[in-house]
Amino acid sequence: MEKYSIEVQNLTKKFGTFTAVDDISFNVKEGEILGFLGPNGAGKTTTIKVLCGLLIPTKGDVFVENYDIRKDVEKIKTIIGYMSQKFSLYTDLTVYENIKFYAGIYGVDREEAKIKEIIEMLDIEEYKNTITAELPAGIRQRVALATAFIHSPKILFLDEPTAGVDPVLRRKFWAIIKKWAQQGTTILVTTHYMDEAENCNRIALINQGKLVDIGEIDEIKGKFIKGNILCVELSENYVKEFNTLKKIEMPVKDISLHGSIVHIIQDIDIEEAKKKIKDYCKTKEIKYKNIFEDKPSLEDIFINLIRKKS
Amino acid sequence: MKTSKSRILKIFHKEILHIIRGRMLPLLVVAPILQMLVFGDVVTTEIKHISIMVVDRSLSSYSRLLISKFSNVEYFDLKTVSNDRNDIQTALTKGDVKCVLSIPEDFEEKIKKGEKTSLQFITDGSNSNVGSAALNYGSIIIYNFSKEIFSDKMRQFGNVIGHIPDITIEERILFNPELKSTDTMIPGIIGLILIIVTMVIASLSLVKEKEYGNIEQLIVTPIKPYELLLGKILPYIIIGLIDVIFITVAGILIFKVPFMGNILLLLVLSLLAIFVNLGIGTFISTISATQQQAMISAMFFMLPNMLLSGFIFPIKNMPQVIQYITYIMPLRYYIVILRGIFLKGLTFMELLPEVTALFIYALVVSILALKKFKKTVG
Ligand SMILES: Nc1ncnc2c1ncn2[C@@H]1O[C@H](COP(=O)(O)OP(=O)(O)O)[C@@H](O)[C@H]1O
Ligand SMILES: [Mg+2]
Repeated sequence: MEKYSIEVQNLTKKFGTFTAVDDISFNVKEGEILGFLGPNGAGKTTTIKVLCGLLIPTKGDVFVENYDIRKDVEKIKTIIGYMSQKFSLYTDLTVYENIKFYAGIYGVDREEAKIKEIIEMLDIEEYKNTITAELPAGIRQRVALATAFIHSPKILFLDEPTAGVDPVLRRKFWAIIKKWAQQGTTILVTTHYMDEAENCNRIALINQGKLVDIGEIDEIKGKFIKGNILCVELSENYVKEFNTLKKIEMPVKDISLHGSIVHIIQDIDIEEAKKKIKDYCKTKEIKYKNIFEDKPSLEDIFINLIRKKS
Repeated sequence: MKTSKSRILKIFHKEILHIIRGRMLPLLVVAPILQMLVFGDVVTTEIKHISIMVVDRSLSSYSRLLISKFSNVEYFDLKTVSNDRNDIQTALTKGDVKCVLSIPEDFEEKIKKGEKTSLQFITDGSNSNVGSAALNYGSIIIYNFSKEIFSDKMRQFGNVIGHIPDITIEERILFNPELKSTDTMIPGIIGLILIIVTMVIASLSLVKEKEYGNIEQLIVTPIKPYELLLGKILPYIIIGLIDVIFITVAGILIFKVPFMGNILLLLVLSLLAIFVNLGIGTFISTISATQQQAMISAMFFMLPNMLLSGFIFPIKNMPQVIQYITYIMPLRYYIVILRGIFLKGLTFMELLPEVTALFIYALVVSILALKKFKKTVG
């Protein structure tokens, strides 16, 4: 039997009569990066807070490293790290003081060496003695990550860790996360950015408190989007041309606009479809740069998912 | 146990950093001293040397006796004695005097007969502070004068000064029969300042972590509630003790209040009172969601403490129901302790009932705060 770091069985969390998390079950393997994806208000943060012991589950069971969250939550707290969605550093303390404070609270051995190591690893030496309030957003996030990882937890919960961080820093951030996972840390991470999900071993799709699906990315893509995707890159008047394109007479499963590119999901033969679209564009005088085939992205899945629900 | 102690110290250290970075230290130490000076000044600054004119148309031994009472106290400066009522108007309008006492022609005659007579006390309305102070002092002097001569006919003489509002006489006498308030007021003020500083600070400290979103980050660590709460109040216990020392010294040096008791006993028992105040503040903090809410709750608790602790109004003059309520005011016990040590030099054993009450209070608020805090963990 495979060893699971986190086991969640029929977890439900209600706030009064409102069900924020609705009968969710999943497992996370040791050293795995599991990505939580879902629109705002889906219940991602609530799930993480239950797993960290911040919220008491209404129903269901949660085991973290085989400890029962209801009975051994204090033991669990010694082996997990949590980076909250909300900014939670002490803004009047320096970077070093923030990290040292948590090192002390967790009772980290060889404290100074450990602090030095993590400061180097996250490349924040130049900010070591800066008051946290004065840090740029990207650096703040790395400091928050340092405080969450200072005690080398077995499991790391990251709630939208890269929100508001520029793409270059996001890539750096992910490189570190992946390294830690390779060293055996189990990571549960929520994100809004579709492209980031590609960094995860598996993803869990959550919508309106329910777990819609969990699995490897390609697996999920295949399941949610049957058929192929044709992309039409428009030259101008994207929205107007998109609205004209929507009226095309052919069996379209879904059509959506992503910047200047229209994604058309359909079932018929790809070459035949291409020809149809080209002809249509000619008669309607739609100007386009390019028509090409693409694999479905998570964004397509998402839009698909949310449309289906409403 | 070792990790527990080090966690408490970590929280303590962090709290000290907050205090220093927030530039709170001068405020926490200087503000109480300033408060002491201001409050102390308010209760001790009696308006003195109010210029007075007496119009004596009685020209009798009784009237001379009354006049001598006015000229013998430092509250009044007797400028002139006249026997013409027409002088009153000119003296007051010219500003020569602030008030006038007018003794009627038949003063002695009526006193001897035991009949009702009227003294007139006229004040310059342009300065109401001076005017009401003059009226207050004047009534007390007249009241004491009446007691002296008519010890057996007090009631009758009450009519003599009937035109002077009874209430002002009474209030003044209740507060402070000898016109000497400093000695009892200053120890009370120490208790009052301490409750303001410590309770407000404690009520804000935990709720700040909630408001800024730090508390979740702490709750996911293995820290125990008592470690967190103790670490957080520790700096304020120390600051509270420093404040007690400063304001006590200020009280003794500036306002010349006698100190008859043991300073060490005062500090030890103040420690207990500080702990109670901080405990209540922390409890307020655990049940509040915002700093504003915590602040209002703290005020809500402090106000009845001021009014029902015996600080201003003597408890024994309160209605019975209110007297029962005073027992739940921690300041009540601390003020008895302060006044007892300051003015009577009471010992620990003599203060045992108050100490016990505060001790129980400390226990109850600690348990409540810890219980309530666990719950907010969710
Ligand atoms: N403490 C709370 N009380 C009531 N409702 C809550 C509370 N926390 C979250 N919710 C609600 O639960 C739902 C899920 O929220 P959340 O888990 O934060 O979503 P996500 O992180 O996926 O954006 C939302 O509708 C939110 O309004
Ligand atoms: Mg969230």
